[in-house]
Amino acid sequence: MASFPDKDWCADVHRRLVGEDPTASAELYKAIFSPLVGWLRVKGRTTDKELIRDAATDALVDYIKHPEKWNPGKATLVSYICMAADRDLLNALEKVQRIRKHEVLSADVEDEGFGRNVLPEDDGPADAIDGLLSALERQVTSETDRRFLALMLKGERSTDKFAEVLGIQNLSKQEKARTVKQHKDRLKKIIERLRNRLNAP
Amino acid sequence: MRLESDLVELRAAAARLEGDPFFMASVLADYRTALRLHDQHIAKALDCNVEALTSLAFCRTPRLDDEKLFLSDVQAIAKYVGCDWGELASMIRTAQSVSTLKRFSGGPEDQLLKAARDKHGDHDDPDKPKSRKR
Repeated sequence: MASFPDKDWCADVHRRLVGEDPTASAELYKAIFSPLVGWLRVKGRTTDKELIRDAATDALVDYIKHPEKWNPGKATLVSYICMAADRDLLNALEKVQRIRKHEVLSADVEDEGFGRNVLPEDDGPADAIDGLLSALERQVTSETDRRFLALMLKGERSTDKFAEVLGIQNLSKQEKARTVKQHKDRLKKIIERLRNRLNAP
Repeated sequence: MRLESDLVELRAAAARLEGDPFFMASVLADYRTALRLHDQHIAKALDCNVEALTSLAFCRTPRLDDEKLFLSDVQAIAKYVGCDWGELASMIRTAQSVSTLKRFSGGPEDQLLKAARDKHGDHDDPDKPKSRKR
């Protein structure tokens, strides 16, 4: 694991950040980001690389934009940034848990609604899911769309995975995100239309 | 020496800053998107290697409201990254103009950026020699 820079280096980069030196942020990032990510991994709160990377980034960005928040009398710069990143990671994990809990509850409600409105009362949940899938299969005929939809149903969140299905890995991050969102919106509309049609009296 | 995995992480972290105008990552992203360029094109135009763009992305965006401060910031960044400061200054100004135009007009990007693309048309071919070298 890469090691953190020493106190003198930190004091120097802090002075330069306060003085608005435009390269200080880059030097800080390149010196602290990797050891910070390593430290968060070892701490073991999560194995999610993206959450760890985002927490490290958020803590560094916050310090870079507001270097005056650090009080050298209270903690070393490295401790200050590590604590901030750990706090950001805990907040992110709580948020993820809240979202997952909400998704599970929503899924339960949607499944109940679908079964009650669409299928005969005798049919069980497995039949309800089969009914939805068959209807979707008739509506979504393109192989790419089917693979894309399968990822959506699996709850996949990585834009790169969706981009891979669409064969647009080489586009810029922004273009990939835009294209993936367009496809998601289109498929969501199909699902929505299907749901409305099935729910119609 | 930096591990490949560290470089990948750093690139991903730089990409996350693309929406933040405080960092040069946003200037690079605006320029790349507006002129539909790849990093190889940009690196060639700036006379540096592609890896240097990651360092560039983490730099603070130069102070734009004062010409002297702007130039000193651009020169400091160019020296740190190892690129052509004149080309860097031009790229930042172009990205800034594109961003301002988009904000004020809200019109289709293609129409707005046609002039910029024509002006920088020589970037379309990364192998084509640069027309200007400082």
